[in-house]
Amino acid sequence: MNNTLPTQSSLDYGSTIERTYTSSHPKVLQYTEFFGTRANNFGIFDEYDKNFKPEKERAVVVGTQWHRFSAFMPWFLCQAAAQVSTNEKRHYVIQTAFEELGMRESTEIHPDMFWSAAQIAGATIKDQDRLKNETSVSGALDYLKETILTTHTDAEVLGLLLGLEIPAVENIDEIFRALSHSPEVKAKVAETKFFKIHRQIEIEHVRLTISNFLRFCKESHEEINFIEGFDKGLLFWKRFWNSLSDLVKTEKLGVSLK
Amino acid sequence: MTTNEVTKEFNVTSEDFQKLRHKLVTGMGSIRTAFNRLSRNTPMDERVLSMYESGLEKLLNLVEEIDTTYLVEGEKKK
Repeated sequence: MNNTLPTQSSLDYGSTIERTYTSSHPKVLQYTEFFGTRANNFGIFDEYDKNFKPEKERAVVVGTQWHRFSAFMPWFLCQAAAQVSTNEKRHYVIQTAFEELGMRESTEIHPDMFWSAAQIAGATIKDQDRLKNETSVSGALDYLKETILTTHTDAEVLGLLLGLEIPAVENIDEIFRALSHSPEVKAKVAETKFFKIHRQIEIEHVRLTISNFLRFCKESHEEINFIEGFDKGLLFWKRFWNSLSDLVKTEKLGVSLK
Repeated sequence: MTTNEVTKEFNVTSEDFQKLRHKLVTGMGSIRTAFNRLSRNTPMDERVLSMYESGLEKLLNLVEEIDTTYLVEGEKKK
């Protein structure tokens, strides 16, 4: 991708005020590594990466199914914010939801921006309609919904959020790689605002969710609950990417819906 | 094994494999459609979903095997 990316502040996403757990705080660095290593053990991209090739079918599958996920996320994040027990925790949780919804600019709702990028890669409304109920992806999204609705401790909610955020940079790289099925498409997709923004803000989202752990999970039982939630987030990703791997294969082999 | 070798050994033609492939993908398409409809409004039971995914994967692997082992490029009737 383009190495001369705009800064967060030039994209209006640099307004975070953090006085303690900044990105260079030793504890932030330590736990980013700790949780990053734990996440790697899940091998969430293992199946998906096995047969990776740039191809139109993959762009359509990832374009339509990532859009389903990203359209679901604002609800999920608002639900998570509603479920935690204090306004201070809510303050941190809602920041990501606010950004996903374009902050104060309604034309920058991120799922919509992503869909514009997916269309550049060749995904169409017809594909979106055809693949909108894909069972295995629905199963993964249902799992995530059920998990947040049945999570009762703040620490587990916060852990689940980190589990969803921790592979954010890899996720963005994967969806970019999938959409870029030709050099021409790659150049166009790289120029979309969605990818310019997300390459920048995902790192901040990870820092923010690590700081939730450091700020609010100081007791051992909270740490345990946090990690339980974290693992559930990673289980979602494994399931989601495995589903996409199968769906790419299904589409390529021509198993069409009736 | 090439198509010719298969033809000789099992007395089947590549056309037979094409027909088999067609029946398989058509059947899988019907199953996929049915499950998509079922899961549209109601979350699918985890055990049923798991059986569906595992079954579909096995059938996909079979189609892939037919494509790579028994059919040459241009013979796949998608």
